Amino acid sequence: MNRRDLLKSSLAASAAAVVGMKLPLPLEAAQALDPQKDWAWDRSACRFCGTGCTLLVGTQGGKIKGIKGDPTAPVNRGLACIKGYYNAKILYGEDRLTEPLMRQKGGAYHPQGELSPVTWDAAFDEMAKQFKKQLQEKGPAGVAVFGSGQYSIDEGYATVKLMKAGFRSNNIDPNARHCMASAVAAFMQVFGIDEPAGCYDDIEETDTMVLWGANMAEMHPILWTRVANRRLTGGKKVKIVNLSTYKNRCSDIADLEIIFKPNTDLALFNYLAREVIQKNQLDKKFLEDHCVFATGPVGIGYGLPDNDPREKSVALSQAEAIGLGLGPQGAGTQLEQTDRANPGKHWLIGFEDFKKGLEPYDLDYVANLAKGDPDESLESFKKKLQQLAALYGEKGRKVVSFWTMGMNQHVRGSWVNEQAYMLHLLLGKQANPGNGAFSLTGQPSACGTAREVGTFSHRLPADMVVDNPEHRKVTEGLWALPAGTLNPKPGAHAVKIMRDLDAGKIGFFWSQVANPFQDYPNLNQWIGAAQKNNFIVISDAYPTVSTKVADLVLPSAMIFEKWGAYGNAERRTQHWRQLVDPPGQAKGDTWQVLEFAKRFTLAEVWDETKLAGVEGDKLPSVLGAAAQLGYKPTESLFEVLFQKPGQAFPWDPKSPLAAGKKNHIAEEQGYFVQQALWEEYRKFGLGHGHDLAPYAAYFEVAGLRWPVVEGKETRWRFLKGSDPYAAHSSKNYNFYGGAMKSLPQGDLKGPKGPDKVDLFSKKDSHGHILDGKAKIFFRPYSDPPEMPDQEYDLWLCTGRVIEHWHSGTMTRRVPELYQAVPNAEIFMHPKDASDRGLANGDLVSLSSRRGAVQARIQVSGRNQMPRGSVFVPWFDEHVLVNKLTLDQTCPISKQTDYKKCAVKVAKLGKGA
Amino acid sequence: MRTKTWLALGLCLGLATVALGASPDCDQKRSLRKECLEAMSPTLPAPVFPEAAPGTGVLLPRSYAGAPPQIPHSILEMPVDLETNTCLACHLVGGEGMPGVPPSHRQVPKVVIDPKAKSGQITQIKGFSEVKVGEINSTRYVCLSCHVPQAENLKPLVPNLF
Repeated sequence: MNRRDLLKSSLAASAAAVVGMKLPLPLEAAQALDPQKDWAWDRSACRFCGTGCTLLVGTQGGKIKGIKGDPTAPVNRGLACIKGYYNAKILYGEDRLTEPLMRQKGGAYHPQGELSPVTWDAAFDEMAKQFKKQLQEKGPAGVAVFGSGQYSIDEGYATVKLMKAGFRSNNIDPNARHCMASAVAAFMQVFGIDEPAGCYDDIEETDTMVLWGANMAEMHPILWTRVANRRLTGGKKVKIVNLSTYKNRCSDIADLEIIFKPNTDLALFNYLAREVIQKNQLDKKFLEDHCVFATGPVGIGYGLPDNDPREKSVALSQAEAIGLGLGPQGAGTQLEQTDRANPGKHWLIGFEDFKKGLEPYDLDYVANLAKGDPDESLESFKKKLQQLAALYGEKGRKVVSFWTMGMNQHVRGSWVNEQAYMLHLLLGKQANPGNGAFSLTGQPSACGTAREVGTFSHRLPADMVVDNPEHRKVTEGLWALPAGTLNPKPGAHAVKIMRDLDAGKIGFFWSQVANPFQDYPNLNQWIGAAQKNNFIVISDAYPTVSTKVADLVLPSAMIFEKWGAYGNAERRTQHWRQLVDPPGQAKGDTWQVLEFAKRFTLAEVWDETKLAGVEGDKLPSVLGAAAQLGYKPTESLFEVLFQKPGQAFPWDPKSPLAAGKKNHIAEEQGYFVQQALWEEYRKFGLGHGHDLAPYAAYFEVAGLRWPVVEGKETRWRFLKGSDPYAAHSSKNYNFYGGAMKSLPQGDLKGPKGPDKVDLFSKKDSHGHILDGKAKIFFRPYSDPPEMPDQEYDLWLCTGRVIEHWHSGTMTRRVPELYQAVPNAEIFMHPKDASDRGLANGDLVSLSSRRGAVQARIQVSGRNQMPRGSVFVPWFDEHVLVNKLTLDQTCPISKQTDYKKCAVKVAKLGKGA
Repeated sequence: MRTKTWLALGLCLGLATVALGASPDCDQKRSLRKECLEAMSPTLPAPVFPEAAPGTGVLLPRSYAGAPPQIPHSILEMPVDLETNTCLACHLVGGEGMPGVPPSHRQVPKVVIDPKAKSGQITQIKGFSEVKVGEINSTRYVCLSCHVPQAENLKPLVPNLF
């Protein structure tokens, strides 16, 4: 934006009036004083979103004094967003938790007691006692850890090792399940390996940025500054398209805005695919060399409880019937949910079958189904869809499609993620500079920790899974475990953990770096579950809604109070040092995990134990095998899992790596815990496409993007000349991911015969795939299980605002952020409000079949809703909007759909 | 595992509730929300944002040196879009009582792609060039990414000891 552009604007006169005026004096004076001159600046990462900005943290006298964007950071290039700047203040809310709190009566634990201070020793003693009781009664399926995409990498790794190797329990799942599990499922199904091919450099390389359910202006603000910059400086060819179910801030600088009805993105992608095929815009060479076609079953349910009738069968709507090729007369046909048990299975189909699947998705059908603004004409909407198809299909035009929660928190999230790759693969616009379907992640280490470390109930590090015997063997080797220690049965995913807690199947629940009793869908049920006969531990830095129902609250150190590492949405790993001390007795989560591990001997956890659903309904004892490895039954899990492998990494506060910083965890545990965990962890990925650099390398730069091979980061994966793992392929790309690369063949109805086809030419001597292929899936349109009706007549979508992070526990304690957006409001179309006799600012009750909240109506502002839809952010513990949401998930990924359920609004009282 | 009382409000809304007995209740002393989770929140005060016209607001104190200044005036009907940027119309240069964008906003990063970099980092930022006064780095175009108005009628929920 230069002066010439400005003069064109309607406010040119006002701008001209101030030309040549000097800076106001007080500002100049302030700059001359330079209060920053005595601050020490150290590099760290932002605590908040998945963008992964690198920050410089200014400290003085043991306190944080200020924040600035790291000017050497390739991600944020010296910038930070409003939340980013206030990282400085998130540590300093007056009510920081500084000592453990236990529910007590008469000086001992009592479930009806009051939360009151207790020593760490007493806290861990009670916690271990309760844990052992549940382990004894229920086996490893009776305990659970709810983790986080905000865990630092060492925290997630230590926890997953303690749970899976120590307690032989796979019941660990992160809030990231609610955030990007659908992205993972689609990556695994399409590419056989997790995480994006592209990187943020795509923004400066591309001509077209298409947002699909990604309000980047608020959720990835610094990436959005780069998108805006590209649009404003890239010349006339550069375009932005914003697809959303309501108008948001991204529309402000978009060239094309498409408002669609919830869930109809499934139909939109199929329309676009059909269109580029009809217009003969396919990249035939790319398809022939690198792709195959696939599909899977349709009757997979919605992740609702087993006894929900919709999990047995549903009558197809007319829209669904057409989308399945049955025509309008197919409406009412019962769809049996016969593939709930294995919803992710799939098989290869031919290109002709693929085209046949897409055939119903013509402009008329899709536009009628998908138009999301009742006040827009069908003709206008159709024209926009054609414009979008033309942009994707234009030869030589580079396109990046970004998405986040709109497509991940989706009852067909895995499908719609796969459809994004479908479109880009058809066009050959994938995995090369400026081209690609780019799944953004929401949390700062959803990629680095939850995904790469594998803090999921079915996963192990580096994309391995617990139900694969080879993967367990590799893991047992790297963890020096007796063969057979690891539990082969996937544990409870996030939603199932709560259902099992409610059903009394899980009796011990430990939440780390999360706020489950604010962030789970259908909250009222789980608030009830928390009051049953179980033991709930919440580790957090602040009291939250979750600590209200806790039996034990553990005070955690925050980001700059410990050494740690995050991995962002472009595969960039960033490490940081401890910059200030934690307050009072607060300790890092890794310290808590290690201390808890000291309370268990091998004899207590590695003996035979019950586990339904595996051979003999039990896990065999591995104590004998442990003795052969030199482990004594009296040794603790801390000694075996952490201390022994940690001995090679002494903590030396005078070393160049320590750089004069403290490390409260290393000092107390007697070795360099974080380095030891890192060096052990990175062995999982070396040579397998997940290569990470040695620990010390990350302290030299603002992060490196994996795979880091021979000391070099990778910008575009799968692309020859960029990704070393594609170097030996005979063609331009190698989609070398190894998962699900051998499949049966069939047609749209199902697989035919047992013979399987390999999706690669061969494996080299290291087992690396050569000439690996990606899969292009056909996936049909599907209605969500709950849609507005006569009584609950509005769609509810939930999400974030830029000023607050997740459940607001940090950002609502920063006065500037609180005062910018104090409470969650109900964004609503003005006519929907006036039809109900409501005015802007009215306090109303918003309710669903599951619960109710009260909040104020907002008919203008940052989000402008089409009639029939409301949006409520979930940061506000005074407006627990998740009491309303439905615990529906994508059946493949088990990720919750927070973006659609049916609600109604009723008047409460006017004004304040 | 605590007993609790479901509040009458929940009952009259027809929610499925189970009364397990009287208090002791959830922890009401702590957290920003003092009520238990079953309850509806008390009536929340409506935020009042500054109505001062641009140019008439009083500068707000910055939280720390380098923190982005807040907006002390109304921003209603002030678009920042492809056609116009009403913020920059005044603040691009600034004037009396109206801060102009600082030099930082004119800095444009120099991006270097170096596949042979010793650090292993291929995409690098090697310093900044500067556009002239009256222009800005377009990454700074979306002003509300950093600058926000403040409700004038609300006190912090808890003091911040920063």
